[in-house]
Amino acid sequence: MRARFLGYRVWWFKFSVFVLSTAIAGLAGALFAMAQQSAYPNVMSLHQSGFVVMMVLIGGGLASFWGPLLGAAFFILARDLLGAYTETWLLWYGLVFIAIVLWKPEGLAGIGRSLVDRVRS
Amino acid sequence: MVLFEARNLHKRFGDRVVLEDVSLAFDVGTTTGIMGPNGAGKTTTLRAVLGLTPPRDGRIAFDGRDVIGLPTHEIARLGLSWVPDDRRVFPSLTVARNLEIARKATRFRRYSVDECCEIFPALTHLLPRECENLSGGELQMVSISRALVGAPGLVLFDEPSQGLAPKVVQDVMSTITRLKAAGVASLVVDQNIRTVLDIADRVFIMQLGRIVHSAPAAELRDDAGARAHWLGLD
Repeated sequence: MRARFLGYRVWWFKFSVFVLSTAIAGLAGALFAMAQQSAYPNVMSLHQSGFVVMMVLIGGGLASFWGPLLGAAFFILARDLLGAYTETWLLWYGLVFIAIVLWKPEGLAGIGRSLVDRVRS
Repeated sequence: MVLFEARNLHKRFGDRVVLEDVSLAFDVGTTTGIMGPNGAGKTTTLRAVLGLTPPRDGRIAFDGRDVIGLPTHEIARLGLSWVPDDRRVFPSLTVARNLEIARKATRFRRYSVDECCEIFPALTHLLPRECENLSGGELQMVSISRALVGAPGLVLFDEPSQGLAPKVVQDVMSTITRLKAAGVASLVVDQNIRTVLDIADRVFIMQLGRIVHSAPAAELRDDAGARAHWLGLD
């Protein structure tokens, strides 16, 4: 409501953001298919979608623009580094996810911001 | 010149009548007060003006244009700004950012951030701070400044003195007086009757959704009998 009384046509912005974000996601999907030189239905599975949601939440997508990028980097690192030691890396990754959602919903970006604030003060 | 006119506004919430035949009008650069007990329909009147609670019947004209049926953002772009009772700033944004996103062009004069800082000197050092860390008085300064950078011809103040220290209330009221001198009209809804009587040109008294009395503020200021009769004040 506060955006409306400041003169913004809110539904238009929401619609534009939706269209833009889906266009970017579509572009990413097309590039992914080109890189893999294949496209299978399993890339649209619930499993894959769940990973994306976890990346966004762990990174701090609710609180920061760059959070999802951090979350994606963290996922790749966890998969490649942790996965080299144990086959159950997803279990540990899931526990980190639960811990972050419970104790730091702002994610990695929020943890970084808190650390910076602490150093500054 | 008549800047604002509301005529025969009606609004119901279910069986409950919240506005009944409400009419008011005022000129450019005037300060108008709406007073009355809780539930009288004061805030609903302001919300009706902004299109947030559209009336069932009636007509509202601002700056010569009928605004009934227009969406809120279009009404705001005509030069109407709102200072809500709960401030409604964006808490995670800085003061400077809150003011920046509220800038818009209308046919009225837009205040710059520097001018706002001149009106509220304390605002200068608050600009880089996030709004979630501000006190009630500081938030009110931001809320009023946000209204001013939106180039208003009319500012709607909903309970501007609510929860503020007397000194801050004084600053807010002197700002409304200053706006009047600059040709910006104000419509003020406030429980603080004496303060409204001090700054207003005309007041409307509402009870149970109806305007029961309208008079120049000076008349109520100077006439203890009328004050006691209409407002229950000595």
